Amino acid sequence: MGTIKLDHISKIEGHADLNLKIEDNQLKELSLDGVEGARYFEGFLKGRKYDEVHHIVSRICGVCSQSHLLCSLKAIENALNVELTPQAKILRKLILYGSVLQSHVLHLFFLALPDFLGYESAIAMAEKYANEVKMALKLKKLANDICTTIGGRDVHCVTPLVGGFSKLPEKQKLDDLLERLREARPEMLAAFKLLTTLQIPEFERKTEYVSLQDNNEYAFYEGRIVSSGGINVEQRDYKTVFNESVKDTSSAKFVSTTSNMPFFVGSLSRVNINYDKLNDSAKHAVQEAGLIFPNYNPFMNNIAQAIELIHLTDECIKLLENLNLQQEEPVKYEIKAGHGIAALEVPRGTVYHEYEIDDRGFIQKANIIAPTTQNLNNIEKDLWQFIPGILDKEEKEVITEIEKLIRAYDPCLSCAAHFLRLKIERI
Amino acid sequence: MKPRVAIFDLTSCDGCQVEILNLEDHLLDILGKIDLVNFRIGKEVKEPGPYDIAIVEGSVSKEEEIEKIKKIRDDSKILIALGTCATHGGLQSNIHFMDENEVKKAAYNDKHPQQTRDIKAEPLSKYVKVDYSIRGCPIDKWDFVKVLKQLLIGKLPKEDNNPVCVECRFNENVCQFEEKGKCLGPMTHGGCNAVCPSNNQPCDGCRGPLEDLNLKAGIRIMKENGVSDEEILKMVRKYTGVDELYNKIEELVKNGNN
Repeated sequence: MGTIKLDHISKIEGHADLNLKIEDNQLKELSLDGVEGARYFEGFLKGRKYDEVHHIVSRICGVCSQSHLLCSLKAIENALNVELTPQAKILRKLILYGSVLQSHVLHLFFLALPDFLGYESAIAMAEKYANEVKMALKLKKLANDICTTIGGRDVHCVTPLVGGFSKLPEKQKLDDLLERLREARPEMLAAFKLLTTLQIPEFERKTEYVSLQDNNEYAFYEGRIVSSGGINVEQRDYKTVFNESVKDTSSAKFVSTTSNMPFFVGSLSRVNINYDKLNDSAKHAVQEAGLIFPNYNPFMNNIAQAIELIHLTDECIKLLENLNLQQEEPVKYEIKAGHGIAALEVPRGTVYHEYEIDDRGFIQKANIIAPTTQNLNNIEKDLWQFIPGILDKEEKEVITEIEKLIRAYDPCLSCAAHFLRLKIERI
Repeated sequence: MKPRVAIFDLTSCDGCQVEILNLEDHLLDILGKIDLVNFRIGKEVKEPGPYDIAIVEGSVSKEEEIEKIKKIRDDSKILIALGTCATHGGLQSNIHFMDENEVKKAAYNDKHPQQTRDIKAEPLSKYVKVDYSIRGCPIDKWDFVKVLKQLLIGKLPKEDNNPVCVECRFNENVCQFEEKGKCLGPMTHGGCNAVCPSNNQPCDGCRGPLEDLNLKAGIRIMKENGVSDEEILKMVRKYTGVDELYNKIEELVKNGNN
């Protein structure tokens, strides 16, 4: 049947290839490769000063720049024994929540929804679904404005630094955000309801689900690394539970657990593991929609993201209501040799940053594991099970269904280094 | 007829395209004025050239990207470089000033993937003629709107040749030389509304050097303020070190006040 080769797959962040070899209608070979130009961030960080790391790693990814920025600050602060003030921690959390909201709205409405409604893009969708597109743009703007108000800029925030912030937001602007968040509650709920009406493909593959877990709240900023397969370690011990490997054909690295299992990170993992910690509005919406977790359908990652929209909107409201903004300087600290590790839950899963700093504050070693690299093995495993079930369909439909599954993971290969060109070889 | 506009990305973080999407309130208006025929992160259908306007994010960092940018140039009446990776190579251009093997080893632990035929990150202008550069890491989204408006009325925009200091003054900021002893603002193209100094952070030069920059004076002041040679070099080379206006930077930093 010859070879079918598709250009870089669209509506995902970054570039990747998927190569399939099909013999007598049987799937024989499958390889998912990141083909983004390699950017060697860990290499550029070597010899850089500890206080510019967060600006550099922010540039790993424009879609979730805040994830890397905040995780690196946490790791450096960990290395230098810097304890943030409670206020600075709340402001960091608000940027994190804002960035997750922004990324989820972008993914759900602009990358995933057009797939499910049969449009090539949100732009093409805008005529018939004008209200939905406008609502999504409004929610996206609100989420971005949280980051801009506190971080100084939406993409690549300016104000966060080791020990706190270079400049604090104006109180009036925070009050405005609070007001807009309260107004957005029904819209987040409407967004969730719209997404639950979509036909989610019937597909199930139980895998290992990994996420941070915190006794006090639905974990994003803090917590132990926990999995459905029994992993339960402190963040600093992440290397004891994960293996990173390099594949010859991919600029993105691959990650598995030390027991050699692929695993799932992202919204579905978080909801599966931390469902009981979701706030009341999120739980109520889940119950009303008749959804049950844990859920083993990767397509449900979209719905899990929508659940987090509701959860995080209320969390932002809570944080802002309890924040009595005081002027304060960044925490003072001493530059010294140190070793810091931190993890955060970010839009696509758990991100890990690790740094070794010398006594003059220069980075000796850096290690960064982005969420998408952790999901690549699991996506491959899903595809092995998913593709045979759809091979009797038209070529075009096969491709669309594969893309839908991959997009459900909200992969970001800019982070993973590095998304999707599809090559199908039929013999 | 609406102009055919195509947005492409080479090697980058996609952040400048995200900034375009972040024009939320104005996005539908903009899309009403153009025929957007290519935009990988936002739409599935890709139309072949010719294009009236091609907007390209990212540096040329792989051999196949050289062919890609040449093809885009051939297909387009106007080619716009979008953001620092496209205008100057961006952060990944640091590889020009570091030991390549060391850098790669740090990222991939000796097992560098074979298929990535990567080359040292270069700006688009190394390989093709660029008609206009929208600077910044990330771009300022209002800068993008300004440029697009001009292009839509058939004009090629002209860039202001002002340092970051101009907008810094407008914003009544305390000078970062006073606060931190270092800043690339006087040597760097403005247009960002001095976003870093306005947030009490020194400019780190992401928009690239001004054509008539006084590099000597900038270096001298920073040295007088106790900033080390190494730190000055690293600041200048963070995003736009490959700019030929910085060719003599190493010499200048070492010779100090001469």
